[in-house]
Amino acid sequence: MSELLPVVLTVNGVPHTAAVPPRLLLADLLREHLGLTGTHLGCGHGTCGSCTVVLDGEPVRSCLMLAVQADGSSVTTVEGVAGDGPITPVQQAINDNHGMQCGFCTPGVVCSLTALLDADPAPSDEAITDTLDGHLCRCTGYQNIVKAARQAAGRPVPEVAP
Amino acid sequence: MKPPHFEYRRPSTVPEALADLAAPGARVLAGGQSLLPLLNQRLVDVGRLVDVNRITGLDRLTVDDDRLHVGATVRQATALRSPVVAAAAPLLVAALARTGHPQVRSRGTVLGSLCHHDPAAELPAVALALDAGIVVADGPTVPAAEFFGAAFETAVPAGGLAVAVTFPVAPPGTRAGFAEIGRKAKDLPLVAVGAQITVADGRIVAARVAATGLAAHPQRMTATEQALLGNPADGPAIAAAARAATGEIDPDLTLRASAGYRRRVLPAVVRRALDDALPTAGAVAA
Repeated sequence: MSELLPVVLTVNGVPHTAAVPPRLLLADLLREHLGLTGTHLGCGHGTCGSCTVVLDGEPVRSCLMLAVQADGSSVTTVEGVAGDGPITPVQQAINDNHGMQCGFCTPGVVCSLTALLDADPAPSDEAITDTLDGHLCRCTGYQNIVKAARQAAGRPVPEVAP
Repeated sequence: MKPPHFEYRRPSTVPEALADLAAPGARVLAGGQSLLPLLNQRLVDVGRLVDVNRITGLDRLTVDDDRLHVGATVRQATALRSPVVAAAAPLLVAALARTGHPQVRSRGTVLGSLCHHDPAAELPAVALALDAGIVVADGPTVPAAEFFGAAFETAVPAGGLAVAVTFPVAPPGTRAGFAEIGRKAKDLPLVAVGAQITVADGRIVAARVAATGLAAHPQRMTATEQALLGNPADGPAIAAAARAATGEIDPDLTLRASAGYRRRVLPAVVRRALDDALPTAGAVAA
């Protein structure tokens, strides 16, 4: 049962080759094999969204994918969204709007918003809500994350009602 | 929260997949968005996963001979964004917008949701309403009305592989509405209703309505459809359809809510779905 399968994938622009057991999750390949612990594993069954990464341009739950299924794919994790540059407008907006507290859900939120804005630089409020619905945040109450998303989308950020 | 051990196969053709699936305990892995949560929680055990994602041609999304063809590996996100799907099967698009989160739709497949057959899932009701056909490799095409068995059971035999689902292309003047009641947005609904309505010269000439979350498998709502047919696309027709819905189905599912609650909310969900499909008809008082 300990058969190892080859996986060749690109993570944050860097090619990697690994030999993995079939049951290894993509999240665990990233964290345990590649040391990219920015991807957080929360619930482990697709509910919380903390492990979201960008796979070939699409936001995916890395706990709901086998590592071997990512063979041939290009993955971006929170460590790679900014490349070699400064933090991205999404990251800056989360900072500016206090869109995080404990930070556990934040890597997934950053990856989802990055994928959303790459696909559509001016998403509607409905699209922003649709994307953030896929993340559980137990600290912020979501309002500051929504504000951050609006700022990153180049839209007015609503003031908090007094 | 890690899956148990299993063998992994990645066939590149349908015949190879069928050979791989012949082993006891073998199971198809497509989008994996229902199967991986079950495996991670060890709620199911599999001897072998047969990953069909690399089979050439299963990602086909086309219209041929008046049927929309959705291959086994067509992602829900792809179908949701597709202008071809929007024109041919507007109800599928309306339901997909309510199916899972974007991060799940990126991997989850249309056909996989049908084959998983959760009794609360949205897409089986769409397949039933639209008279979809499920194409089984080396077997007959199964009409949706004969496809869904008990919860989590379908007409795909053990060791079999569904390769596509096809939908009739909607005529011009067709609109769709989808409504659901659930405890959380995007979570599996308690009750959901989909309606695809064709209007010509102000009158409803075709009505396809189905519900999920009422029983072990989705329900086609023929009395509700009959209440709409031939009538003007207006508020009184919608009110009559919601009344007909109350009479035609007696929910018996008690998953996460009582059957009585489902009975109570069903007409409201029908009305919302029809208001969504026919926005010019105007909202009707309860």
